[in-house]
Amino acid sequence: MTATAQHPQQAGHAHHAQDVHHAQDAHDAHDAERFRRTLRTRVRRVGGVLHLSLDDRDLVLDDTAELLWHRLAAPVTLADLTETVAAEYGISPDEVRDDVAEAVAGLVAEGFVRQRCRP
Amino acid sequence: MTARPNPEDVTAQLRRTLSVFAAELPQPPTVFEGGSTVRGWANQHSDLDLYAILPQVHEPADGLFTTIPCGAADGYFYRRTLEEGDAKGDLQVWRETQVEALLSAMDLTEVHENRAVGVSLTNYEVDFLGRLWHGRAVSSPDGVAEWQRRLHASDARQVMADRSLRLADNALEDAVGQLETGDTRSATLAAQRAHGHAVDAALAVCGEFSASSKWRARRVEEARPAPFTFDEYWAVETMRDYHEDPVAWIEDVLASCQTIAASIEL
Repeated sequence: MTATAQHPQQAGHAHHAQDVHHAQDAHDAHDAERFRRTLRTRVRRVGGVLHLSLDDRDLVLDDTAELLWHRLAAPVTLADLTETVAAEYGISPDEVRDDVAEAVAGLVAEGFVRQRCRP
Repeated sequence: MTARPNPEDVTAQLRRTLSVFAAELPQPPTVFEGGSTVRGWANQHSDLDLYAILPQVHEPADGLFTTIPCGAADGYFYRRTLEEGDAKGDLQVWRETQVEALLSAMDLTEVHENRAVGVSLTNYEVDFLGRLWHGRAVSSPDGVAEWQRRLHASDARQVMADRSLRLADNALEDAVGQLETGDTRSATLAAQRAHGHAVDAALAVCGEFSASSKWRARRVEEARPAPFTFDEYWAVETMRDYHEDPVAWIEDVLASCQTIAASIEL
């Protein structure tokens, strides 16, 4: 899953200047990846809980997933989403980064969120 | 603007008109006025929209009425144009059992069990309910008030919101499919439809039901639905930012339709 891909330097890249440069490019590209809701998704709120339906798949969102889903109304990066969740819960982005990446990866895998080509 | 008729004259005229439907009319018959004249939105070309609810309705023999099939209610209701003096208007005659059927359809458990009860309503039925909601008694104020009390106490707002959300879903799916094939123009029209239905869903929660977009801006202005400001609504309705990037505009509109749907508790 691209959203949880390792930082290039963590993947054992050499410290050669050119490699570092390429690694930084890859990191920037990774950070620039944008995600957005799948616009064909049917949305309903029942009993205070948000339900998503797409083709034969249904998903009930908890509070954090709903927060992410609202932020995904426009194309956003994982960093944007991480900051949103961190700000909501008053904690540092580092504490939620992995969880956010995992949640977004799950939404992408189910088809409710898509990686965006357009900005 | 059309001069307002004297209610007593209207009632006398209505009694004569309604007598073709029933050998014995209730005294007084239940009649209400709905639409732009009641809401304060009328202009000089606006008609008076009158609705009669009678216990028994026989098919009139005078040939002046149009027979219109119902959807959620059974059978037909009758409609005719009234043009006497300044009281130019439109009269619909419904049977009590038909109105009972419409009220029975306003049941949220049907929505929760994924039965599209709202979609079975015809446009006439939607407008009937919307006009009853805000209607003003012309005859039998107690009778009109009782029908209104029952409508207000029903799940009509949620059922009508669900109806509009289903229509929005269909248009949204059209728009996405058309975008995927590069048909931006068709997707633009579908996105406009989706947005209109989503706004109508938000309006329905406020007790504003209409099958037409004719007074949508007025309704938004008056009801102030929670999911969006008037400016946000109007920016989409007038396609304010469309030409900067049509595809981005379409996608943003579709996302906003989803956000509206997410704000409506069913």
